[in-house]
Amino acid sequence: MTDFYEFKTTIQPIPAGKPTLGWFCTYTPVEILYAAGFETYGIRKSSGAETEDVYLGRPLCPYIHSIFGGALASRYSMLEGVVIAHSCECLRRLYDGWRQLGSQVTPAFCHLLDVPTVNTPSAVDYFEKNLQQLVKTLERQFDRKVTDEALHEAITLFNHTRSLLQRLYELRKHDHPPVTGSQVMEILDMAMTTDKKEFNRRFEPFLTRLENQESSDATRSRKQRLMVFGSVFNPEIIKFLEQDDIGGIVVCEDACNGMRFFDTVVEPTGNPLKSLSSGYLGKAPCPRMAGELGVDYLLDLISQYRIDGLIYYIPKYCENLYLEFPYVSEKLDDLGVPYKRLEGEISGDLNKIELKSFIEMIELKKEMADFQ
Amino acid sequence: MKGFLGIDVGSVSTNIVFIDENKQVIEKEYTFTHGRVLSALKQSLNAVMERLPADLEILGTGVTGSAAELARSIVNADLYKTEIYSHARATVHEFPDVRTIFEIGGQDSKVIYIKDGVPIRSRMNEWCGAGTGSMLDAQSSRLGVPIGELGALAVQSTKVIDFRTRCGVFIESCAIDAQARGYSVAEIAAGLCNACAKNFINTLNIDRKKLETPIVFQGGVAANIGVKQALERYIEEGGGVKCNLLIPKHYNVMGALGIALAVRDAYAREPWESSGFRGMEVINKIETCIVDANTCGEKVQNRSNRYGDILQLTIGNQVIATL
Repeated sequence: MTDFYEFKTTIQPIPAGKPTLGWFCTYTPVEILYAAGFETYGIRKSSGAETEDVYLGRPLCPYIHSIFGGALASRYSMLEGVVIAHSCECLRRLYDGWRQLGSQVTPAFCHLLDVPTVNTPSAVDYFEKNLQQLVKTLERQFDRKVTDEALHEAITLFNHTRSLLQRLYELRKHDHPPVTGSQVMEILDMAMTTDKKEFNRRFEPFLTRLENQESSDATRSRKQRLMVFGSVFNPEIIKFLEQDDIGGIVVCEDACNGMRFFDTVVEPTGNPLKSLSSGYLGKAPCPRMAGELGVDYLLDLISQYRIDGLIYYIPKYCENLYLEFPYVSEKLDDLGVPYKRLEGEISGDLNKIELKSFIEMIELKKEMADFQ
Repeated sequence: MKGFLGIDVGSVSTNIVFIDENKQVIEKEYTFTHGRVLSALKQSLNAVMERLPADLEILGTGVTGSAAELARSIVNADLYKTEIYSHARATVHEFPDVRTIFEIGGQDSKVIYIKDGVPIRSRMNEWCGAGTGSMLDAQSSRLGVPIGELGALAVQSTKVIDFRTRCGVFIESCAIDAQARGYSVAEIAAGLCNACAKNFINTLNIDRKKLETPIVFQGGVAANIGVKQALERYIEEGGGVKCNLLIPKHYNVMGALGIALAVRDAYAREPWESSGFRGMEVINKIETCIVDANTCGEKVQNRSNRYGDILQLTIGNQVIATL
């Protein structure tokens, strides 16, 4: 698909010198950062500097070590600051480390945003107050003014990005998805780390072409349709599963570096902070949220995307995912959906034998070949 | 005689099984790999070939195991499947009603759950080798007990020391502490077998209450009666069924048997004209060398799309495969 590579080359990183703020969790209302005059940069990949972090304790997930190592090794020097959402205990400890080591990490500015774990009217009120606090901090720290008008504009812009990505995911429900999982991961990366206006402008015509084209690769319909569930997972999984001799195609990622980035629509009118608060808390509940709704949502995705098998990927020490697993696996067993639980890092080597044998099992289940 | 070769190159042993068209095991060979895949493979292939009749015709070959990629290139195999598939295939062949498979090998351990003769779920030890043969190997050589006798020694002991650790290295510290306190070698051996069994169950998160029988126990460690009894005891202690683990006849070459059966199935479904098997004359001449792709002047891409060190198989000056 040469078209994809052409599209890719049109997307440029945020130009050096343009003020940018980093974010980590998809419960961070990035519209506020944008309305304060910043580009937004989602840090969702390995910094490659995990081992630089000799400060935070070992039983934190590799994503946190990657971020903190990266901050210590100046990998994020293009940023003016970061917003850390208190969405899990690991991120909260990242904030502690960031504050504690102050002068040794770049960028120095960081703000902790507390996010409730329930979506109730009082939680929405509470989260709105936290957002007001974020606005005040940004205004004071960077000497700016965040107007309602700018917030409305930002909401419209990000809603547009989200709706484009939702359209992209619709295409993956087809028998012959016009994009591979690896390509979607690259698109999501662009959407999270580049200039939003530029991204929307370049991506929309490409997406329209995809929507209008007949499938480019009919062989994709013979592959096993897979889904990755997790927090920040290792993108190598998708690359491996989609190799020709493995025989999978990844059609959905219910993960922090997957569809959790865009699974909401924020009301573009009225009190913008209220809209953001209820819009973000109303996101499809991820494992950090309390209650059972997340599993229902997962089961719904499995039927919508007609999933043949699910990879449950746990970055080492990700407690939310460990603790959610018995519950999720029970539901999957009831539904008869094959799944594979894997633990590991967020980049680098994988247990390929486990992944390959999982595909073999799905194929066997389908064929019910005479195995005796 | 016509038949199929199954090859399983694992961390500790290289195993070969030859079956005829009726799925009967004609020959098998279990050789220690000793870190040398190519020479172990040549040695065991030669050993099997020598014992097979002269009118031999190899219809197909299959590979599995941790060094399957390399072995596949060396013999030019017709089929590759993972160890999990291969082990399940062989076990279902021997025990059609099996529900659970325990496999403990050199550094791998796995549990495979079977329903209606098809594997439905599996789990491998991902990060810890304490519940595998390597731990027993290291500890029995420290005790000066041949590994083949450790199990028999363990079952002589009436006392089982409970080494309270989940780490293979710290088990050694516990064993040394036990010997200093005056425990006999048999008692320590029983403790080691018990530790292996407990680590196996815990590392693979096996819910003992929900285990379904028959359970088949295979892999090199299945030869160890001490571990077998420790597993049975530990399952029962955990509220599981009182059971007798079944040990297959070819327990230590099940991977090789499974892949041989899989090749036979594939051939029976859709026969190919001739097997890719290179023949012993060619295989015996093959050498391997690691080439640093970065020093070749240009980047060479290997089959798995990685850049970096590449492996070349050569005969004389001729490169016959790159991976």
